[in-house]
Amino acid sequence: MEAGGAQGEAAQPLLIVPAAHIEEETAVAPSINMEIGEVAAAEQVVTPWVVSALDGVIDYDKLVDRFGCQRIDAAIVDRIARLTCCPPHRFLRRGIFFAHRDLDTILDLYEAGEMFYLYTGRGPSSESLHLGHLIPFMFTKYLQDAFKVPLVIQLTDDEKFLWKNLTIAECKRLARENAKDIIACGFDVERTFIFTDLNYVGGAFYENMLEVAKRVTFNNLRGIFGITPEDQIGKDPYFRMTRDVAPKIGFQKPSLIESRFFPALQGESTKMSASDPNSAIYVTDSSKQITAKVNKYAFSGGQDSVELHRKLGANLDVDVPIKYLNFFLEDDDELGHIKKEYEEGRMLTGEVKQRLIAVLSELVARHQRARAQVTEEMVDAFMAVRPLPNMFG
Amino acid sequence: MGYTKDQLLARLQELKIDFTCYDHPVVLTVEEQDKKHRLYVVSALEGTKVDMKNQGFKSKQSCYFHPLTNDVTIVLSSSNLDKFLISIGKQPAYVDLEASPVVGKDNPPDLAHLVPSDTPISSEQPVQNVTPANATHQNNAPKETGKAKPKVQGKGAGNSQSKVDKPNSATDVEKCVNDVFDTFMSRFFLSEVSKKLNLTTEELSSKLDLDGLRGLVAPELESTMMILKSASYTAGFEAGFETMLNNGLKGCPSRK
Repeated sequence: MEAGGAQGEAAQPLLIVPAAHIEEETAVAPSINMEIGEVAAAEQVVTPWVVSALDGVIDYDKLVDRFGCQRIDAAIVDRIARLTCCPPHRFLRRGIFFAHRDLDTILDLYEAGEMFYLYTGRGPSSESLHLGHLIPFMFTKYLQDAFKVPLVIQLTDDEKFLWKNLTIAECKRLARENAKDIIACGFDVERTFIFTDLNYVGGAFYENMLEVAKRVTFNNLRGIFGITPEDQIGKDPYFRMTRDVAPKIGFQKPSLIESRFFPALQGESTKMSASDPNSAIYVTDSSKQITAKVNKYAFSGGQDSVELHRKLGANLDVDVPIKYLNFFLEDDDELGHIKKEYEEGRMLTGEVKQRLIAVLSELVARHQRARAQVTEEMVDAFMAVRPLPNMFG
Repeated sequence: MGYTKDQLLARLQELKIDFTCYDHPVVLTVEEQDKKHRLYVVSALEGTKVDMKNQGFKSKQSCYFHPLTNDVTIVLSSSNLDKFLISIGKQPAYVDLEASPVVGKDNPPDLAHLVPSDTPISSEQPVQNVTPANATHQNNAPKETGKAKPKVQGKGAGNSQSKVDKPNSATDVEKCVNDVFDTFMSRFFLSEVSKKLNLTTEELSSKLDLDGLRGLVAPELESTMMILKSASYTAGFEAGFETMLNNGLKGCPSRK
């Protein structure tokens, strides 16, 4: 596995974890800045990089300190709103995207009239995406619309071929299928370039990869990836490597935005797994399936009996429907109301789940409608190496 | 493609519009510009409290204007003014500047219907004379709104051209969503439903939380429109590709 050339995606709900928990694609680093037309000297913001922990309970403050990120505080959220003249996304308002590296640098540059571009990606190991997979894409779309900047999306089909029991043809097919779901998230075709490694690597891109590889020694690798898997908890080593190497080849360090962990349906301490369809809500689920899954499997923080619940209220720290609503219910006031009523025992788990089912059904239905309209030709258009004259519109 | 004072005066003569012409030193003037960078020519009787509109002009014999430059004033009758405005395709409208109608949520500005909905694509620099330390009679200085405004196009936008809506705002999905919602809501839904319910549109719209509705509908509309945009782009991309493949440059029309 070539050191610096490891291609990868940035935006996954799951990442480097101890061997026992591997069931999803691991987050792997991007290559260094690709040039697309005028974007040559642009800086990049990369989203997102999700943090995880061994026992499922995360101390975000500790993580921020330990890994040298900074918190996205209210001041930054306000600043983003001002600069973009858009209301900030709920993921920012609610601290779901909660930490960053050098985001303020990007904002300074943007305010001064400079441009940047966005990068995100996916390791297309499976055809079915769940809601957790959508979150980084939803947030990236917001960033694209708000800042009016171009976006590059990388699909690491080559990596999947090497790590999974798949043929090359299947990897290519999965990449294209995933691209359709990505397009359905609503990215702007005038500002978005999607590519798969198997299609695109070569030429100037490959030269960049080599430049990176040359500057990462074996000792670097050990330092970045650690001696034991545990050293990697909560880190995305590839991004650190990227940030480390970029200045050595004359590029600005990419900035990053990191998000909180998206919980599995059955509870924070459980994992989403392709082998268990009831561990997550998939974008292919019908309204009926969503109803069944949420009612039956969504881990509740409510009490065992109605009487007890009215007396003690719900434990919001572990309640999955509330966490999901936090991610997907747009109205802050309604969310606040539900949390309060539920915590104080006046609202029951069933009602909260009912509201969640409505929210998720609408979201998924909208995604499916859009997905149904994505043709092979549309995928080709997004993937074509073409001029993007309005990418900084 | 700006015009000079002399060209304008020549045109007036062509149209057989009588006027008298006075040269004088440059005087301070103020330019106003709305958000869409449309220029409103405001002409008022001397001494009127100018609040952007004026009825008194209508029958006057002597109206004073600067013909694209502020070191000359020409004087002509309002009927001749009309003649000129019509010749350049603009419909003159006379209103009462000293009336102050209440403008609010339920009362859109009463002159709104007179304003063209499209925005100018280019903003030309008219000929101007600048005296030192004076504001110039210059149409195109963007209103400085300090930090509130987002990025200026730093690179290559060093001139004082204002930021007009670009021609490609037709592909701006967010703008389209808002336009569709506004059209559907205000022009059709409110007026038709209020008729059926025997309410005025104001009463009906005060009962509805229009912003909330917009918030509910927007994601749906946006998703649909973005897909339409992608599909259209894709079709165009295909067509372009096939054209080049089969016909090369000959397949494209010449613009000469």
